[in-house]
Amino acid sequence: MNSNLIWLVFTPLIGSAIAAILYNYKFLDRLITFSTFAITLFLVFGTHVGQTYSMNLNFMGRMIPLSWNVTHLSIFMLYISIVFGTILTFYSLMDRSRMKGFLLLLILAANNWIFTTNDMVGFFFAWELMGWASIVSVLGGRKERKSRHAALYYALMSIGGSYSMFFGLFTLWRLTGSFSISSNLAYLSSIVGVHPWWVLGIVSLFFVTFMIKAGIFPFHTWVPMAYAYAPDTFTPFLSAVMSKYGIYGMLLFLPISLMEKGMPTVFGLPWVNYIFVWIGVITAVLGTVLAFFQDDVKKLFAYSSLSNLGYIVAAISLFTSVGVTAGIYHAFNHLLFKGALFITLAAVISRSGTSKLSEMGGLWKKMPVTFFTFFIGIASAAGIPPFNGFGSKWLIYQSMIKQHLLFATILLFLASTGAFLYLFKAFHSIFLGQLSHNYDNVKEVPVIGQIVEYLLMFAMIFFGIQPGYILRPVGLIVKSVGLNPLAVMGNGYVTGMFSNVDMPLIGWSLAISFVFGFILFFISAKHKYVSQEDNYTAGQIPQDWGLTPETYQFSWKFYEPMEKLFAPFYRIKIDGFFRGLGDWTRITGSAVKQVFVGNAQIYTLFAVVGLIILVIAGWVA
Amino acid sequence: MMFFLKLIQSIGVGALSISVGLLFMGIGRKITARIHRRYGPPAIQNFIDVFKLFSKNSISHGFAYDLGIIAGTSALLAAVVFLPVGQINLFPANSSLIMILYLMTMAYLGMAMGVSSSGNPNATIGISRALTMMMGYKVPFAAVIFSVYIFARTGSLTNIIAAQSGGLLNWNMIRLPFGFIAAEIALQGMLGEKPFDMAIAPAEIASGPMVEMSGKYLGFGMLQHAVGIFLETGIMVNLFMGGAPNVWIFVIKQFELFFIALLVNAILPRFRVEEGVSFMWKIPLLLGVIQALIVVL
Repeated sequence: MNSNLIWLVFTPLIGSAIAAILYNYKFLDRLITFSTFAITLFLVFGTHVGQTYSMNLNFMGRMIPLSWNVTHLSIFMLYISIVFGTILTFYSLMDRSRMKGFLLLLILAANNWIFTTNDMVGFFFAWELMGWASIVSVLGGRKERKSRHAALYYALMSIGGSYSMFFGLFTLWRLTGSFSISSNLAYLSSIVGVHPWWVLGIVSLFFVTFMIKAGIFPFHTWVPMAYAYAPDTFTPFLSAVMSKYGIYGMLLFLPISLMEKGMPTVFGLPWVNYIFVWIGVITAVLGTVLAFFQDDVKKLFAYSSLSNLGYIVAAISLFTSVGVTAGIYHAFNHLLFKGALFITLAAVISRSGTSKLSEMGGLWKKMPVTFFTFFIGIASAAGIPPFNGFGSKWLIYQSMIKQHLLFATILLFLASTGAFLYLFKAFHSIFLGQLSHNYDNVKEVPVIGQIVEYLLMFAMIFFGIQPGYILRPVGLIVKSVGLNPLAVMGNGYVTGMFSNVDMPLIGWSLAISFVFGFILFFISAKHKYVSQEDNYTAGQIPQDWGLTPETYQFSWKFYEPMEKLFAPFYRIKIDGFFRGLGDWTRITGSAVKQVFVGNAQIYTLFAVVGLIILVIAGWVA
Repeated sequence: MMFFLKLIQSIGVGALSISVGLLFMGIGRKITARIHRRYGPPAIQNFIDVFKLFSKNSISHGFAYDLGIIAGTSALLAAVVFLPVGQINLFPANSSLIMILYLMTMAYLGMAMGVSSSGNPNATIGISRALTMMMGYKVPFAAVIFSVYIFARTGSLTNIIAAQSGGLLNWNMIRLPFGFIAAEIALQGMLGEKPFDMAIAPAEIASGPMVEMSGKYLGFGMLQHAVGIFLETGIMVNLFMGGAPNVWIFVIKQFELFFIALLVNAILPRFRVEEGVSFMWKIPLLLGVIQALIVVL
């Protein structure tokens, strides 16, 4: 029964075809998308570690071997991506954004293929399918022109990545004559001691692709645009699931660095890994600093995703058992809380009709369930125990401290504290403060949305106080890449290198102290509720000077002192490099265009010259 | 049975932290008054204030306001039970320093949520200043934590105390002097004392976060400040002064640290926010990094 691996790929493709036919009936499109996700989830239940399948595809007379192999990593990624996708598509049943279900199903097919394939042809093909389906999905955001521009930018970056992977793939094929990922990796590991530079060159071709997909510095420039202008219901998938493809690819290639002997080391790390740690740290800090000053809420959280991906890359690049555990664990946690945050943002944007922070405010009274989901989401993202973001952040710090990486650790702390700043900015500007009269008629999301929000809240608390359910499978992955897994003492424990944390105990402690807080609150003297206009204003009446709730809301220049502090860094623009490259391409292109003037004589000349070259080449050969 | 014993002990630690914190605040008012050549209120004035506040009627801006302000005190009380206080160490296997620091963040988030939901921009400006300042002092403090982790080869406060046993010369204060000075300056920021009190600057933004608080809400605010003082000075005592054999010596050591902070508070004016942050990123961070480099190399 190993052929169910193929059905993992084909079921979404069939679903996609049906959904594409019924595209005009939006609800049916969404319903088929949801049910296909659910069916695929059942197929994953029947998939086990160690399953393999192979077949030969006859392509124009040439046999192309395709093979599938399920590892611990692939099954983990399959579960988290498909479960999240199911929740998201359930949410999208009631949603009015222009996300296209059949494109999401194409991505799902590619998703399953990428995580289970063991041949590079399949990997490349699935990667392209995923890339193009997501590029087309980015089109159709609320702002037509901007989303078109974002999709174009994303497409260009993706094409760059694809070329890079294509070169890497065929270089490997020339060297080994095989497309199999596992045998090629074994080959690379075997020659890394002899020809480290060759291996480095080939691996970096692949890494460019993975870094582009994950949005790691210096290839992060597409991320904020694509995330911000994609359809609101597609952004959660883009941030939560699709950014992890790059991490998956990196995890495939990273074990090679274990074999790497003879290369110089820094702080006990191979220097390539050391550089990658720094790339991760720079991404984390950059994402944080840029997120402070965004006014578009989706852009703010796009930079936040960037920052979290930086954490993951820094952790897995260490390639120690704590580092890899922390990295994969953080990948899961990021998927959960950032997915939840983007889903609540979709809810807020669909109800308020704007994504500008400066136009929102005070929505907690109108959307309490969304408000609580968002609150738990930012508590998780800020790494507050006992919610789910804490354990992985804590392990990441320990792995960095263990390697004596002083400056990297300090910068990661900076990024984490900064995360609290931008998360609170978003929280305040959307939900707290003065409620504008424009939103007097805003209602809570429909029941389906509320069910999804309750589910996500529960998941963030559950995986926070029961981290063992994630740390056990992560331990198996860590073991399968050849490292010692961290001990898992129980479902409630996060076991670190320096100490342990008992998450249920923290939960109990919080719960009991909240009970005491509430008791004190209710036995003390009475309080009465007043309106938001009833504020301390030093004896003046704001309405007399024409102040409205919108102008009384503090959301513009939220962290002005920070802007002054970071002003010198604003002059550096990474984007400039790519724009320069674009200009250069345009100039070269127009120079080439001069040749093709449409004059028949010149074409004849080309033909003659080509013929002569051919003849000479044949003669020499 | 075990559970109830721990529960009772935890409540005891919570009550201890509240009373010690309030007492410190009262003594602080007295000392500041004497520096200013005033007579000053009695040392137990803050207890009287809290009782008075909880018995007065008050106004609220909705359940987010109530919940946030309760969370401010409760989350700090939840964190304080993990702190080893003299011979009382309720959860010795579970006293990770980073965990306690992150749990304290919950209190700041709750407080920030509560006061901002009132809709008064002064409160939000205060919170935005406090968070900016937090970014300032957390960075040198991270360097100090790094040094202590590497030096003691452990991250749990219990083991850090154990590593300092055997007299004054084994204290991290003597062994890691630069780190101690950096952490002292960071503590000044954590306590929100001058020159880092821009968050509650009364003359500029009408006491910032406290602007909308009245009655029991202000009472909760005072309790939070009291537990905050206890927790922050307590962490410093455990990190640098080798803990304490019993609660009394622990409180005396805490008071020494608080006393230094008070004296600095009484004589210095206030920084601007960006000046405060850049100061934190210059001198304490430099000291912290020097200390960490000494430890690593």
